[in-house]
Amino acid sequence: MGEDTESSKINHSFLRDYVTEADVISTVEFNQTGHLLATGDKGGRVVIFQRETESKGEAEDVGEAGGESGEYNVYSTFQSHEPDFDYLKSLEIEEKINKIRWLPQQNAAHFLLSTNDKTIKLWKVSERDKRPEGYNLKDEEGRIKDIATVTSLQVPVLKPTDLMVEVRPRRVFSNGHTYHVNSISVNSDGETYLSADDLRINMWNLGITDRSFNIVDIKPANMEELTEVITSAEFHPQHCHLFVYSSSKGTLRLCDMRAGALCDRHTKLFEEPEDPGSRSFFSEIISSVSDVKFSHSGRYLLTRDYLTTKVWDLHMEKGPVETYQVHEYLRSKLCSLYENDCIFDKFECVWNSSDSVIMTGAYNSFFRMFDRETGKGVTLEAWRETSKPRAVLRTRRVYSGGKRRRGDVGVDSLDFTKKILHMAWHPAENIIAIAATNNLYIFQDRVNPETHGQ
Amino acid sequence: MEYKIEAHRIMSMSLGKIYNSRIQRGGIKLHKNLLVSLVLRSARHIYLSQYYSGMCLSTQQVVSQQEEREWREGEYMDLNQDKCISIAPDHLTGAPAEDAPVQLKDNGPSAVANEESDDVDIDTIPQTNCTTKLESPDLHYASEGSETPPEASENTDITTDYVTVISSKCNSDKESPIDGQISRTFLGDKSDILQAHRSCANRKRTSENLELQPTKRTKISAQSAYFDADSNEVCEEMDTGNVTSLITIFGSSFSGLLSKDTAQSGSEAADSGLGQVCDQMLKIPNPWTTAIVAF
Repeated sequence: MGEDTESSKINHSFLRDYVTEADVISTVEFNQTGHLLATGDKGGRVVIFQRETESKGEAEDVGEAGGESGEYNVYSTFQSHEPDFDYLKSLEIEEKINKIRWLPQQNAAHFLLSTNDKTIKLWKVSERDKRPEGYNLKDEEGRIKDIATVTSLQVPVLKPTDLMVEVRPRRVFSNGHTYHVNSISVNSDGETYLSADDLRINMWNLGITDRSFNIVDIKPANMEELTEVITSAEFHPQHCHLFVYSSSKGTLRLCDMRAGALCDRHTKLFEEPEDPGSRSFFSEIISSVSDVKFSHSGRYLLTRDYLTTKVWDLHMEKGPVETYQVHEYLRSKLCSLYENDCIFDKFECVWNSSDSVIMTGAYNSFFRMFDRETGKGVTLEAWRETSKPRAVLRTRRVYSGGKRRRGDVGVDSLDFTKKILHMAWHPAENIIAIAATNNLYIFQDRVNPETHGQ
Repeated sequence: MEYKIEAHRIMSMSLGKIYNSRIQRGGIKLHKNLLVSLVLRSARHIYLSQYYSGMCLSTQQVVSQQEEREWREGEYMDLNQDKCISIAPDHLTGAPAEDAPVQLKDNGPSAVANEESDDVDIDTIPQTNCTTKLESPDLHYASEGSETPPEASENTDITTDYVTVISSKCNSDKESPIDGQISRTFLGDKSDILQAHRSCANRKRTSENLELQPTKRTKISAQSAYFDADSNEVCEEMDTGNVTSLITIFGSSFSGLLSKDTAQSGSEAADSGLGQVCDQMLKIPNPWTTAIVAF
């Protein structure tokens, strides 16, 4: 990701396949226009990529609208969180960035929220490409002039200079959570955001750092009765009073903040009855929802559990409207996956801009895309060897019985250390960003760059 | 049978994960540990239900003698401090019983250690295993459970959790060297013992397990099964202090899950005795019934 000197100072506790643990990407997020892409890693760093704008001449030749080439280059890098220590509990607080969320842009500067397990920070990303020159009291290097040498007055002028990107922390929202923060979500009102940990959800005002409202608290009076935790939460994209949170039991709860200050009582509970025939030791683990996302329309919810991804209609609580098998061939391998801890992996899921395609990650650097209209899914691979710039991605297949074709990968030869957990889809175009361990892949659909329909 | 082995393996893995989670960077992850404890609970339930179904089928005599041996080595003791279930070697030869009949509420080899007469003990042991409910005039554990033998699931429910191996003072009276060991090992007040019993008992059992026949090993309580020869290191590392701090770290939440799995819910059991523990376990019928339905 570019920060060679920094990585050498951070977390060399173990190296795997020449990948420093600190370089593993832990979150990916496009901003609202898709012009910027932010990634956070386990070392607490944030790297922001910017889409390059082509010159007008090239754009006309290629015939693309907007003049953007689709190439993302590094725009800025900064250290967002540092390793911390909770002295009271003698616990180390990881600096890993769990989530990044961009705020809607209101002026020339960009704002983003980044969070680790305990603390959320608001960062301001601004550009400076001019600097004033011609001060009367200071010379070019900034030293104060001797007044006696000043013989005439001049008005300072702004001269263009090399582009500088400055990132400054504007707010630090700390001490809001006892448990590990797993999600943040900016409200459509542009003033508030929520942060969710395992047992509580807090609502913050972006301008106030010393107070937050607790809107959901599922901590039982007796912790021995704990049966489920919150795994993800998100505000509705249009309605500023609605939010949804998912639990480790596979349920989703839609809450309306107009109903009360504390939203422990859900407005809607989305739960699919369990299939008793498929029960096993690990049924509870694989039913835990790892990610929940509202569709852009606000009508549907997308959830991901270990083996499937499901689309829910907000109007129907009794079950999902669509279920897609991501890697059903792993169902018979759950015990081994439990042993190597892979069963606890939290995959993310994303919608495309028109809500017609959903995407989620898998193992062996594979990720899956499902077309909701046809119900079909494809498997693609994010791997350096097979992805040359401008090469066309070919679909892959995992062989688990039946006719084996050339190029199929056997279930037993899947590499479970290469997992695609984090990804993002451009809000308007068919550009996707896939995080594969310490690499970021950006794929673009050249055939249909703009998303059509709906 | 495969389920039992699988369940045993899963239990060992789960405990290893819970233990390792304490030392990993970033603190204990509540979500992961909750899931691991759910798996642990399911596996344990399956293991015990398989165990009990196996118990009922085996020959009573054979079982009883073997159980006697296991008892001695497994140091099962009654929660009630006055009663000692741990049976000394002499017990087999007819040494007089020390106390009134004891009820063992336990998933182990036997439910009842009736110390009034050896013969009676031996005969009743296998029976009580199947029926689970410790029928003892003096002790009333899990009175709910005392029903009928056919209620295998309930039996499992009641007996599963708790083995509270308590080192009781009566141990010192025993002539058996092993019992002497037990009394030396378990020191401290009852609550400490309750919390620590599992780890200590397991530690001892680990070495003793090796002496037993492989089949018998599976009959020892689930707790000890966790720390079989394969996971010796885990067992040894989990001394009293670690278990106690584990409970503290979890904020006595998972202590419920962990200690329930092993034998009691910490201070609650200490305060109120086995009866209450049984009540608590019975209050949570769902996980058990679900697991039963599944298998």
